[in-house]
Amino acid sequence: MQNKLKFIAMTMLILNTSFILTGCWDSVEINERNVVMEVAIDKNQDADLSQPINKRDSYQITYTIPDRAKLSGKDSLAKDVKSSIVTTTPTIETSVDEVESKSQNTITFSHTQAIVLGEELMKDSDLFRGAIDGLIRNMEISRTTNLLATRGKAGNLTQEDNEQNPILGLYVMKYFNNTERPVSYAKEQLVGNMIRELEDTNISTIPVINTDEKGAVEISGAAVIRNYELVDFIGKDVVRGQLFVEGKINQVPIVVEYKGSSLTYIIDTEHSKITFNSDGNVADANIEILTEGNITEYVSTDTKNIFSIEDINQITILLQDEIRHQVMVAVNKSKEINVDFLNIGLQMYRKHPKQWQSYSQNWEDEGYKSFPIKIQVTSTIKNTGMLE
Amino acid sequence: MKNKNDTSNGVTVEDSWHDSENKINIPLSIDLNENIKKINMLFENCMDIVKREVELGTDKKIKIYGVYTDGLVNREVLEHYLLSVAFDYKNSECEIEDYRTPTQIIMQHFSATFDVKEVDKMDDLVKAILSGDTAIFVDQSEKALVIATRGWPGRGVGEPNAESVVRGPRDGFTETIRFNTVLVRRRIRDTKLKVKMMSYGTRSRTDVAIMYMDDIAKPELIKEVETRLNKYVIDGVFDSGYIEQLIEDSWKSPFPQTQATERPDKFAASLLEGKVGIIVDNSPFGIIVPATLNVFYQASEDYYQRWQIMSFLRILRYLVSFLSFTLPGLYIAVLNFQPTMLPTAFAVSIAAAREGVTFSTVAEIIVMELIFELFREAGIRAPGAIGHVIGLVGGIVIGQAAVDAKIVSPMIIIIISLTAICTFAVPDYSLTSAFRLIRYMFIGLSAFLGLYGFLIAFLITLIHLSSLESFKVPYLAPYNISDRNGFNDLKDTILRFPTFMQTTRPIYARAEQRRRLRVNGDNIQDVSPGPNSGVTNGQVDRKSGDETE
Amino acid sequence: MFTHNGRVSVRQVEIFLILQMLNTTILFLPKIAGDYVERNGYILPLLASILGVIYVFCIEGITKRFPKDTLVEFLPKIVPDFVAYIIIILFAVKILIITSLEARMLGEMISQVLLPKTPIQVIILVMLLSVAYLVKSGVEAIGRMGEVLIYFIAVSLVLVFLLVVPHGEYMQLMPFFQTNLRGIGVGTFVVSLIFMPLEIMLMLAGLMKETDKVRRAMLVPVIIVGIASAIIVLLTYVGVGFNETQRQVWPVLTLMQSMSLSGTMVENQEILMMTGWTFSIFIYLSSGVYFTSLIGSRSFKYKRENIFVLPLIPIAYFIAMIPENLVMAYDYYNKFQYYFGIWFILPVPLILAIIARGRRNSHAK
Repeated sequence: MQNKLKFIAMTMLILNTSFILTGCWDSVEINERNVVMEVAIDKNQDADLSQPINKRDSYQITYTIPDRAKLSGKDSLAKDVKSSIVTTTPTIETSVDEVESKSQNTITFSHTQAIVLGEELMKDSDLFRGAIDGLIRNMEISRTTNLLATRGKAGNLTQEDNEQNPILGLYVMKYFNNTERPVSYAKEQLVGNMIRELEDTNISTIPVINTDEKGAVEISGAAVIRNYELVDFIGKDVVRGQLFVEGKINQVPIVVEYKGSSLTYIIDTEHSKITFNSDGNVADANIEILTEGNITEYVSTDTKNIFSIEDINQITILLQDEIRHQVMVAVNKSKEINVDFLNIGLQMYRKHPKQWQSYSQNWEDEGYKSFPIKIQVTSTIKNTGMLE
Repeated sequence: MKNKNDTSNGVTVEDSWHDSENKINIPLSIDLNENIKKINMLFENCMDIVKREVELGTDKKIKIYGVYTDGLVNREVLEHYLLSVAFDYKNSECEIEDYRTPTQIIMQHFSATFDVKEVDKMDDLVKAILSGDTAIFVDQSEKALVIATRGWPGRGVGEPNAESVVRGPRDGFTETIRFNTVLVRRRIRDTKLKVKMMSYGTRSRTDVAIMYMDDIAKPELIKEVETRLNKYVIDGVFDSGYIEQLIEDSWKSPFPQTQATERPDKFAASLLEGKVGIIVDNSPFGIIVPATLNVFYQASEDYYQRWQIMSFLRILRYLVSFLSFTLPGLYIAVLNFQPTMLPTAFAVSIAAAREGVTFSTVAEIIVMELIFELFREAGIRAPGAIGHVIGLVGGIVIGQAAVDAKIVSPMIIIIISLTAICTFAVPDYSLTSAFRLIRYMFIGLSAFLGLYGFLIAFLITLIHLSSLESFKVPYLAPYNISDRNGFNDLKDTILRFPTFMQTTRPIYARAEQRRRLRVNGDNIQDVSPGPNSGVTNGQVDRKSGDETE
Repeated sequence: MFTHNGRVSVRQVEIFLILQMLNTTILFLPKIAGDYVERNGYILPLLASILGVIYVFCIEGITKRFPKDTLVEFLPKIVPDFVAYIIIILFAVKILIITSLEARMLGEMISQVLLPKTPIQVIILVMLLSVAYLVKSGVEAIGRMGEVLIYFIAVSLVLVFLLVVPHGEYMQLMPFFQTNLRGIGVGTFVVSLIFMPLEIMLMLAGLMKETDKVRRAMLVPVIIVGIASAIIVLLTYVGVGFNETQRQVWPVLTLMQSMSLSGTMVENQEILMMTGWTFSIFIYLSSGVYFTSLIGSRSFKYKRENIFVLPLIPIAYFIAMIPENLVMAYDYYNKFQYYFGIWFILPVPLILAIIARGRRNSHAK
């Protein structure tokens, strides 16, 4: 018994000491890691197409590495708070290899906050798919990383100066982590979530990040992806309609004209439900939207105020019309580009799997385009504020 | 220096009187002179022993010979109540006939004290003399008398230093065994509280008291304690720590398997739970067995204060004691292996703080841990006031300087200090000593295999604790035998249930003696204290009706 | 009082079996279930519990005839000695192989999630050595260890539950019941192999304190694990998405990764949840090594039960290292379970029970 114990103790001890002394395989000091904050993936348009595919430098990837000391407000040898490393390689992993050779420390993706995809990359479904696969297979990048699309080259965007926060990844992190923020023009997309959507329906949307003319970063609108391929960019109005359909609207103002002046209604909570006429044969879809909110802005005078049941009813009707109109924008756009990003088909599959079989054949071609969709809005005004 | 009684083979005459356990095995002689000779031989060159021969009585003279140790006896008792009585004694023939032996005459007439007994073994006599009693040899008697005259300058009952409380009794055990048993006896006035005395150590002859509740403690436990105490023969015992280490179950374990306490209230409460207590002379720490991990988290104050705050503190203690041995290891594992687990901003600031530090995190942690242990040891050993200076110089000056000089990163200082503070939050010192040691195993394995290594270290600790036992009680009881005793033992673990709910004694007690609290009377429904459960909850007591002022 | 009698209590056996059943199989159970019944995979563990109850009765049918006897002792009383020894050897080999493969799977997992660059040999060896440390302390220590570990495992399971439930996409479960009966039948059988650890009751029942509660000790784990694995399958579908589940190698692991609790001290909590699962595997390995060594020492009638522990560790290690890569290990693990999993929970106990009954009747005449 004692001999055995000694044996185990000795083995553990020898193993331990020898490994501690020789160093450990996976141990890297934290200040010897370079944390990549955002990865911008583009298609390398200068790639030599005559090369075979495993030699062709298809990807142009820009890694943004912040300088830790500058980031936490201390002096350091680095010139700038962020430095970007651009690589052109055939695969994602080879680009990691290349960036390791260009960076003074070990590269880690443990805190990567954003992946920005360039327009050209998204148009090439093979490269797009390869990029996503390369990112998640080795679990280097978390499945909860934010995914963003951009018009033009993603690398240019991440290298630009952003006045609010030089590190785009941190900007994105703070933007989406804030749950109090109104959700009105952009829908957050995570890597894992997008993969799930693409697995389920082949269709997904990615929020678009761009700079406006003055150089301010703006996240609004979305890129519509089908089969890992960009179909079209949709504007922020369409995204708002999409958010309405998905029931994710929060703290969003709706403005209507009432008795000659504009009235603002802020939606506190919103719910939505898609139902189908289920009399044996699915004929149309009905999007039911319920909103609750308050009137927050209206110029009232002695003669025209809104503090009466009659007025409230009239305003409610106006508001419902306005919301229906906003949702309609999304429905129309999805029919125009013939991509069911509102997931009407998925809902039908889930709720009426038998009927879905008759539609599923040509849903992507003609079925969706000709499928009638109705919108029904019910709004409630809870409060009119302190004024009449 | 050689004894003049040396014989040719180097064994003295005196040596030959002692057996292998250093007990004196010579008989008492009926002849007083013979006894005096033996005593003189035994106490040769012992200048602290006072010996005197006295003749008592008038008609029929009795020769007595008194021996005591100077300084160990209470002179007042000895001189006022014994000698003065003895000298005044006048006897007559008839008196002698009333008693069969001369010792009984002395006993009768020295009745100024109750504590007199006849002794017929030289060994007991010598032990009594050396313990502070006075021995009186009587001529023409085979027996001698031992009169309790113990009294020496000792520390009075003071406040326990290691286990101080805000609310609760302030008396603590002292170095005198009799005071200690009295402190317990004052708390349990029950004939079932047994105090078995034995002497331990062939040369030190230290008094050891085994205390237990006769009808609550399991007989096999008492027997086990006695068996283990008798397992070894040792020359001297100077603190209960000696006994503790000789009776514990596993010498390999760094964890304490007996509970040491300075508090008589804790000691008494443990006896009422069916445990066995051991008090050792010259030691202010009583030992309680069996001891499980859980008891080290129970401070006596837990039971004197309200249960809500004490439950909260229990949770805190468990949490911080866990941190006290895991924190440095966890820090290494997360920082070097899984920085993913840190929030981004935090990771960046740690990395920035480490910028320019040349040592690896592991080296930093180990060096700083050792330095802290050094401060701690130096602070305890350094005389009096200097201890504080060491703390100040060590903690603040060196810590700050080391950070400024980029020898260590500031996070390390935080981790080490936090670990140290966590260590002090656990009520029992010996348990934290174990934590101090296993901390290094966590550091080592975490440095080697990251979080997986940390996990393995945690498993090894748990395996060790699961296989450990204290006096045949699993060390992790009641957590891993919670179904015993109908889950009632869990009421005094991480949560301290209200007192009225703690109706049963834990598993240490005999099965038929498990109930310790019940509602007095027939009203079984109303178990909680006070009317309406202590809070006005809208109930109306219809029976009482309207009261007129 | 409590110790050194080599016996375990009913509660310890229950916890022990629960921990055993929550082994690696759970990590890809959603995928297996999905293969047979699509989105309704969560009903399979529930149906499988019914099969599990049948296994329980089979095993209890034989163990109750020989209270306080383990397989090694009662088998020679039923069948001729050489048949008994063949069965015992097969049983020991089976336990040892499945334990080794489990160790390999654990190594692969740890290597995937925590230590990508550390050699898998080290990971497995370190685990096996700590297993040896536990096993040498005997069955009581394992039982007590399980009782403590169950708290940690319960906490991590509840954590997963609390994190997934509010954010799950429950629409993933729709449409309901679009499946065929054959799929349900085969799927139920395959999923019921999660109850394979019941086979160790052939040994463990003889070590229990209360021999009359063997059935209860088996039924409780079957029901709890049946429900728990149904919940895990369901949560994986709502958390990861059904189609994505079918694409993943370790779907439950992906589930843990796709959860995030923002604003806490710790990010990527999947690592915390993995600890709970590792504890469970640890008990599984300990049981495998312990019972193989117990079969050995009882067969050779050694007094010390842990004499075979240390020799077993290198054997288990070498078996674990046989598969060359993850794909092979995964394949071996699944195939081994599929082809050999059922033998000692249904046919062998059943046949033995029938023979035992027949012999008793003939004796009675």
